[in-house]
Amino acid sequence: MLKYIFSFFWLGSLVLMAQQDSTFVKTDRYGLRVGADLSRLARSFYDKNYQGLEVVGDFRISKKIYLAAEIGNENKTTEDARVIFTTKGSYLKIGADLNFYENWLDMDNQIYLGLRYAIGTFSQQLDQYRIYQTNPYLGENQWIASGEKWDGLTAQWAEFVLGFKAETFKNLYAGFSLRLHFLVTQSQPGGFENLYIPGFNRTYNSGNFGVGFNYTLSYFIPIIKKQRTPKEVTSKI
Amino acid sequence: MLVTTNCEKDDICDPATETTPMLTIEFYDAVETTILKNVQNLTVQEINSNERLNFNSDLLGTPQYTITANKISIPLKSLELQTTYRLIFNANNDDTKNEDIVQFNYQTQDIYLNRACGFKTIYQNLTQPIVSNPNNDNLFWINQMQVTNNQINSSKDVHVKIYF
Repeated sequence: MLKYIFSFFWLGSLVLMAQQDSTFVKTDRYGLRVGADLSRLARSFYDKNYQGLEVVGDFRISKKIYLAAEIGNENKTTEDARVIFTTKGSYLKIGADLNFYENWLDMDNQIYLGLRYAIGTFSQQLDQYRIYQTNPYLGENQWIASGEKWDGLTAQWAEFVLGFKAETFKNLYAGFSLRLHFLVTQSQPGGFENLYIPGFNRTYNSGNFGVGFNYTLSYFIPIIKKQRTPKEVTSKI
Repeated sequence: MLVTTNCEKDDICDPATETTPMLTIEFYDAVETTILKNVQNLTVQEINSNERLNFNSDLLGTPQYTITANKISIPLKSLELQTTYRLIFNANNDDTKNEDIVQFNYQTQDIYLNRACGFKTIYQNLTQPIVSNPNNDNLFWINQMQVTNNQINSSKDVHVKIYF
């Protein structure tokens, strides 16, 4: 604890020094950060039923607000107890992140809350299914091959995001975000159901919600450096 | 990965779901054709099966394979367009038991229910059942059969009447 109190004072005096030394003024960097979701990339290697890629990007527009977007593509075969189906499609998520983490000096880390609106187009293919027999006497519980396919399906949903990004090396950021999805509208395959939607993930009978996450690695391309006015620095102390 | 846990409520087929319907048969008196009549100690066995249909698994031994009632429900095959049953009357008495063989022919349609239950089969265009006798001895206990509902969408409906 003492150590933290000490470092607090030390950092405090550093900011005080910054006031005096004009070469030590805090700057805000503005630029484009682009990256990819490593979890989808990794899963594509170890899960034979999954191939996916998500490219992420954000662009700072004010001290705390970043425009953010994700674009992705997935091809997933889901093997449930009674249905096996393959979903293929793409999605685009656009929105903004509000950073509420106060950075020291030149750092550009984030703990943020975000909002997205997402649109997706996809296809579903029913590969195999099982009949649910009320009475098991006849012993029919085989998988039945289908192959029926529905193209041109669409869905729209909203996402609430909680995440962080930390600069691990110069201009290289590691990020993690948790997401709550709320389905706004979807077109269902007639005679089947959207049990999985690319970008939205698994659907539930009990409601229009879904969950998701990503683990990103991004590169920051600086465009503008803005110095903060000394007044801002003073107000920090 | 967060969403692949397998103990969600959505993963258990709700017992209240109307899954694949069974064929429901009512038994009537052959003379007084409007009067429901209990069939005595009936045993039902699919023609190629080694096991008898279990009517009441709460009972032990032979009683669970015999039924005395005026209404029974029996499953039909979903993967074939025909199911043949041996209907054995007075099955618990070797001297008086009488076996008739009944063949049901129909068409099927598989309908999606939900993630947990998968699909169900409904049966359509059930035709007049074909009754035969294992020994060709012409000792039929079934006097007449009548299809009253050729669309099998629910076990709660009555689809076939047997007069005996």
